[in-house]
This record gives sequence, C-alpha cells and structure tokens, in this order.
Amino acid sequence: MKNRVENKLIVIEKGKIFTYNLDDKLSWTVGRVTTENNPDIKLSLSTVSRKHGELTNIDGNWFYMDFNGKNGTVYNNKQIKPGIHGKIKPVILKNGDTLIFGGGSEAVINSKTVWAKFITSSIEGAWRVNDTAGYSHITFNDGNEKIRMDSPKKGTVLEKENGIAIYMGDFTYLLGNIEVSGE
Amino acid sequence: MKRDKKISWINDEKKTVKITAKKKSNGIDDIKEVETDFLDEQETQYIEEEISRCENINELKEKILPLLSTQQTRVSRKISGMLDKLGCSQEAFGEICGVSRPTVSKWCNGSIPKNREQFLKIGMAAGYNIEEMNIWLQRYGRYPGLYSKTLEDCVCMYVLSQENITNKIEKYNSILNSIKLNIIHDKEEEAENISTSKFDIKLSKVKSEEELENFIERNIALFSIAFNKFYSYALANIMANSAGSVNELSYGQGWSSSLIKVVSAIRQKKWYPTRNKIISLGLHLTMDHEQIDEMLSLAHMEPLCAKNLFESAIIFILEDASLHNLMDKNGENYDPDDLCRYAKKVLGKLNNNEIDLFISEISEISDEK
Repeated sequence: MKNRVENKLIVIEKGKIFTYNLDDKLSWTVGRVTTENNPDIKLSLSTVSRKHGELTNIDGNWFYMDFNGKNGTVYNNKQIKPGIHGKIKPVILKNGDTLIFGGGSEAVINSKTVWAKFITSSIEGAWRVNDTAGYSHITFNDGNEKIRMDSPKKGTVLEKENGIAIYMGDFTYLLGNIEVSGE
Repeated sequence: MKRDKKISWINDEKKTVKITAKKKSNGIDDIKEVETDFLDEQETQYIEEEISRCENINELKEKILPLLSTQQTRVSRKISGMLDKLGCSQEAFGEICGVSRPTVSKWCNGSIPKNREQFLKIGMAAGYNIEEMNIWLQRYGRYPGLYSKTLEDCVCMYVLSQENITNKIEKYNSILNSIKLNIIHDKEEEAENISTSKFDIKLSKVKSEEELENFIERNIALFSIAFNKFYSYALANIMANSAGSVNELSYGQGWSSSLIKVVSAIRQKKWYPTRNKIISLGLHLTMDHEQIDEMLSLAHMEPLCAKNLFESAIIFILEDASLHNLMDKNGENYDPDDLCRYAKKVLGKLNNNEIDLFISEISEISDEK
C-alpha cells in the first residue's frame, strides 16, 4: 500500500492550537502580526519577530529557514544559529521535528514561547482539549493499547495510527481516536 | 585570537589508547579488528580535540599531521592485507575485480581505486559482508555506505548476503544487467513512503534472484529519488543565501567548471554525490561544519572525519572561520569569497599531493576585496 504523505505544522500559542496543511502552498512565512505585517503563520507573542522565518517546499521536502531574529528558534532542543557571516541555515524537516519560536537558546515551553511540530499524517478532524492539570501519571488509550507515562514532559507527543495526543502540562490536545486520563 | 587551552590528564589517557590501537592493528583476526575499530573511534576523537586547540596552520602541521596516515597509505595497506588474507596474487585478484594486474599493483602502491563502483567490486572480491563493506566504502573510499534505496547498492546488498554465491562480482553484474534490460521505470508512479531501515529488512528477506527482480520492479520509483533530500538541501542553501542566481554566484566566485556541472546535475537530480565535491560545494556556499555534516548525512555519508589529513584541515578551517565570525559578527559586509580564499590559503601551506588535487578545484579568487 502506498501512503500519500501529508505535511502539517501543528502550532500551539497561548494555549490555542492550530493546524496548517503545508501542502496547500509552497511557502509559508512565520511571524508576528502587525498592521504592516501579515504572515501566513500568524503569531502574536512579542517574543516572536515580525519576520521570524519561513517554511519552504523544495522538490517535495520541507525546510524551515530562520531569519535569525532577536529571540530565535530552537529546533529539536538546539538553537538554530546563523552560519558563517550571519547566513541563513535551512533545516530540513522530518516527521516529529519540533520548533520553539521566541525562547532564545532554551527549549522552554511557556507563555512566552510558541511550540510547533512538523508531522506527516493523514489524520483529519478537530482538536479536543482535555484538562490534565495536577496529574503526575498520564494514560493514553487509542482503543488498541493503553500507554502510561509517569511525569511526562511538556511537549510530549504520542502519534498512533488513528490519533495524535500532545501533552502540554495543564492541558492535553487530542486528535482522532485517542483518549487521555490521569491521576 | 586565543583558544581555550584544556590540556589535562584526559589527553594523556587518550594518547595511551592511541598507542594501544596502533599495536593491536598489526593483528588480522576478527576480534582484533573489532577492538581496533573501537580504538579507532577513540583516536579520532582525540585528534578532533587536538584540532580544536590548534591556533594556526603551523600548529596544525606540527601537532596533527604526524598523527595521520594519508588515504593512499590506508587504502594500499588494506588492499595488500586483502591479498594476503585471500592468499591471492595481484593477477588473480585483478581477474576477480575485472582489472589488470598493473592496476592492482598500483592500488597496492598508493593509487586509489578510481570510483565507488571499483570500491564495491574490491569489497565483493574480498568477501566482505554488509557491515565490512560499509566500513570499506566510508572509511577508506570516503564514499556513501551501502544504501538499499539505490539500484546498484540494493543488488550488491543482496549478493553480499547470499552465502551460496561464490563469484559475487559476476553475479552482481549479471543481475544488474538483467534488471536494466527488463525493468522500465514508469515516472508517473509514486514512490512508497518507507524508512530505509524497514526497506533494508524487506530486502534481507529476499532469497532468490527472481524474488529480487520482483522486489526491484515493485520499488522502482523509490530508486529514482535516492538522493532527493540531499539535492533539496543543497538547493535550499543556494536559494537561502544567494542574493542573485547561482549562476551569478558561480561566475562571480570563478567556480571550476566541474563544480558548475555538479550544481547543474543537482538541479536535474542526476548527480551521484562524491565526498570531496560535497565539501567543495560547502566551502563555496560558505557553509559551516554543521551544514557540511548535514549535507554528507543526507548523501548517506559519515560526517567530516578528523582522522583524514585533508578533512582534519577542513575541520580546522571551518572552526577557525566560525570562531572568527563570532568575534566579528558586527563586522564589515559579507563577502562570499572569504571562506574559499581562506581555505585555499590554509590548504596550500600543507604541501600535500592529496590536498593539492582538491585545491586545484577551488576557485581562483583574488586576495583583493
């Protein structure tokens, strides 16, 4: 069976979740919205630059290019630093890669940063939000198996065949056939 | 500029490891080879640390060069070792590999086999398994390791894994010829999205030539996109950083005609990556160490290796360029020729045949800004 890859960017900012179907366009600008600036991926935190970066498709592969702004971007726990002479260093994105906008060199997820995940998935539908505040143990259930995690880190993602769960501490975001419980 | 000097007891310990590795490398049995590979890694780390402490090219020459053997020496030693192990004359080995006796003699005396295909055939003649072939290709040939999503490597991996095949090269050639004659690629077909490790597992289950032909026919679309990510990454870097077109950049920098051809072939997705050309492209596009390693990784090759004379010089150049950049980040306007000019200057001082060949391909750039 041949799977058609659908490339998506999931973005969580100030508790709100957005899904961008990247394949709708060849290029997406990322930045903070102002009266003069209207990026494709519209962010609002002051830690994000107006022209923060860009997602570009080159021959079927997606790249993130950071414009080396003040608070920068962390890619898979490592800050994207400019190359020699301040050059832009494109990063090639693969399923599960994480980007954190506006947190400086730290890979922190808080009210001053934007969390984003690049995924290749065909799961459609609306996101549900579950309150998981105060839980030290989380259990995910996709109908086939239960997966228990002790004190998971914020930003932990569980991707199953028919569902995706994103644990963000006080809240957990669910898409498709997956549920969360905890204690 | 002063670098952080961290001379400590840890280095002394690694020096001991290095000496031990040299002593043990005399043995030819398997256990010793495994030990040597492990110690080889330790030695490489030690050299990398030493490079990061070099403050200038003279220090690099004094401290690092004596620690390195050239690619020629390593390859000739390895091929001579193969002949001894097989109990084979140069003539007989040449016959198996499909080359003349003088060619084998040249290999034993420091001439490097001319392309990856020759390295593959030598590895098959030596009776290597997949793991040994990967070490041979990457460490000695500086080529990508076996990659099952390319047609030739797929066939090679099948042949290496079949214990009942006596003449592996003959079988490899005959299967490839048959496949090329019988299978026509339908460009409309979409390649399956499958990881390389899963594809390797599928290939390892193929047990006959007929099964292999069917396997290749089913996956023929996949073979056409083997280096797709590498091509895209190279193009992304060109697009992200060239104010004008790549043509303007290449003519402005006076790129060699062979490098211009490489870029043209990358655009047409036809280029089979070779290690030194990737490094050369990285220098011309002012990439740093991390970016060149990423390009090598996407071409299914190991990262820059300090163990190799030429590459240890490249690591030094890139680290020095990055360090200089950090101290001078608010400096004058960006000049895309800087890195090439600096690389040429440093490499030129090493007076080494292996490196001279590479320098001849770096652009002729005037020192005047």
